[in-house]
Amino acid sequence: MSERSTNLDFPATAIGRLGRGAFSATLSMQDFAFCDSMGLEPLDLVEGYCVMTKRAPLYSGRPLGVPAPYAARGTRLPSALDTAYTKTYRCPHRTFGLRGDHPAFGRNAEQVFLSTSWRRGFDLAYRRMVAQAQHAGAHGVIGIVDGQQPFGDLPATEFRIVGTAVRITDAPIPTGRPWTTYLAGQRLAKVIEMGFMPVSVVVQRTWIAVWASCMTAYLMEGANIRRGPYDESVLEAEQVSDARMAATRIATRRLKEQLGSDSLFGVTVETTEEELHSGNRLFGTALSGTRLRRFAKPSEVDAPTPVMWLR
Amino acid sequence: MSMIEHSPDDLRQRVLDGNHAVRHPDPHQSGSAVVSGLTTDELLLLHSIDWEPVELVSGACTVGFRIGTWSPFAAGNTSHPSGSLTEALARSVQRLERACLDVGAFGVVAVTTDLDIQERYASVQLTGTAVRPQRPGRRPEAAFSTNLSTKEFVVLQRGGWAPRSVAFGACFVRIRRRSFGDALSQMVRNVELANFTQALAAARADTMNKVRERGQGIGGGVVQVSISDGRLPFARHVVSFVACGTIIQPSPRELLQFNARMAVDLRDREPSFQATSLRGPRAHEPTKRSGISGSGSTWGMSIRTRLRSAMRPTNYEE
Repeated sequence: MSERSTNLDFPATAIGRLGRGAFSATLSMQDFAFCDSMGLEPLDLVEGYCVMTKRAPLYSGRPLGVPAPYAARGTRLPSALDTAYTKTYRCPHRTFGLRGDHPAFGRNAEQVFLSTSWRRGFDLAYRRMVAQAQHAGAHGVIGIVDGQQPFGDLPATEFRIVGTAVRITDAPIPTGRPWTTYLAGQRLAKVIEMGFMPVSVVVQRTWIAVWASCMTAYLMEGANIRRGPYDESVLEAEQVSDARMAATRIATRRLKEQLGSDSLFGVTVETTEEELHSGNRLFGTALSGTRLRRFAKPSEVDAPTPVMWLR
Repeated sequence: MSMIEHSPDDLRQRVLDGNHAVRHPDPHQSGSAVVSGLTTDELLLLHSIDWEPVELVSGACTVGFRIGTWSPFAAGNTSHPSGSLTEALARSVQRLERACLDVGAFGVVAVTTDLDIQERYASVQLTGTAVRPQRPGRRPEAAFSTNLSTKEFVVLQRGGWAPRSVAFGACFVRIRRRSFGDALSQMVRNVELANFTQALAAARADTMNKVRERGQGIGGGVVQVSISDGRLPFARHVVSFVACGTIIQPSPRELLQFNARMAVDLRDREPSFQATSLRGPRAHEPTKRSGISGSGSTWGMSIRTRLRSAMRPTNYEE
């Protein structure tokens, strides 16, 4: 999570509730029983919210394949745009000298501004939840559930993140930020049995915008005709295929950058597609999961034996 | 059944150790990050045969359809969209396998298919987890891919077989309109709609042929074939068929066999007492068995049926 400092205050009623009196938890009965057996004592339900405007500043961009050199950048600090993914697709009809509405080239470009603004919203909600857990004296937050939804009629998105703050019995009083995880109960127990400990939830969203070249627009708008050079058996919209793969590849790379030398298993993959206009599109990939740190060697497990039940 | 057993005290100690590791990270810890779609159970299974996950990989392809492809007045030929979709699926598999080699893995397991058929185009995206042996030997020239789950992959490996590639087949079929005379004659009688039967049977056969040809090309058999079909929402007179399976071959190195261990389930699956017979002398009589419990392949079912017929007690009411 980024270290951008913003207002992390939470309601006065929450301050009164956290870490006092009876506990509250989002855990199911099974999860609660498992946590109890692991020595994790639920403290309170902790939550974070953030409502952010959603204006999509689509960046058409220039070729950004390499970082801009200092001479070209001037005194400006290097930005994420300098290394963002972009690829240009030339029109195959240049020799015909077509003019007018005919697009001379198409481009795929990573939407860094969208990713940054999404991350800012998620980060704020996350940091508010963590601040509540810290206030309650928790070692960690388990069973996290997050989500985003449009906020009323406004061009805004609401980020929500909820979890259960827990304290480890017999552990020293926590000093730093608590660890966080989507896992709870049996899954969390199994991860710890395997010698991994959750560090934090990690989320990465990447968008690739497709400004269609002439051929991509033809194919995606269903204008493909049987005559001339288009009478091939299969016509692929290469630009769109590339965008889909690039979104997943870049999201994975960025997620790995967040992980350091830790690991992420059971990653959740979510892909989105939004049609803009004239064959233009916005492809998104969201990856989320729990960053796990190895603290012990895994237990030896025998290879499974196929069993045939006689019933 | 493989189990890890720890007493509750061990587990609590592990939690304390883990908490300490998170608070005080080891500065000497090294290694590259792993992003994997496999769950911890699947990771354990993979480790049990000395394999490990490497990274999440994907392959995609989008193809356009021609103008008037779905017109209700067009001729019955749907070879162009069928060929386009089959080719899109094949290219996606190729790209997935190439991405796997790029990250230094041997193959991709648990491949999921995201297929989107629209009026103007069709998009395919395959996503899976690239895996490799923990002690990799020479890097393979071609990666494998499979839609089998990790559990099924492990069983296949243990049995001396190796997956080669995901095989797809796709076909669209246009249901021809009935002639006026046919419609009139079928109005008051219960008869077979032969044109529909023929069209669907031909499309299914064509789809399976494509899968078989792909398997034949590689030189292996295809397992876990599934065919999904459905009408296209934007063209109700067109039915799509998509078949998917995994091509497997005997593993060249490991000549093992599926040595399944027999196990008898001693748990009571029927109620010991029937509420209606508690007052009478039939209280302890076993209840009637019906059908074959559980699900499984045809192979498993035939085995169970045979064993049951051999072991059937005489006092069962059949």
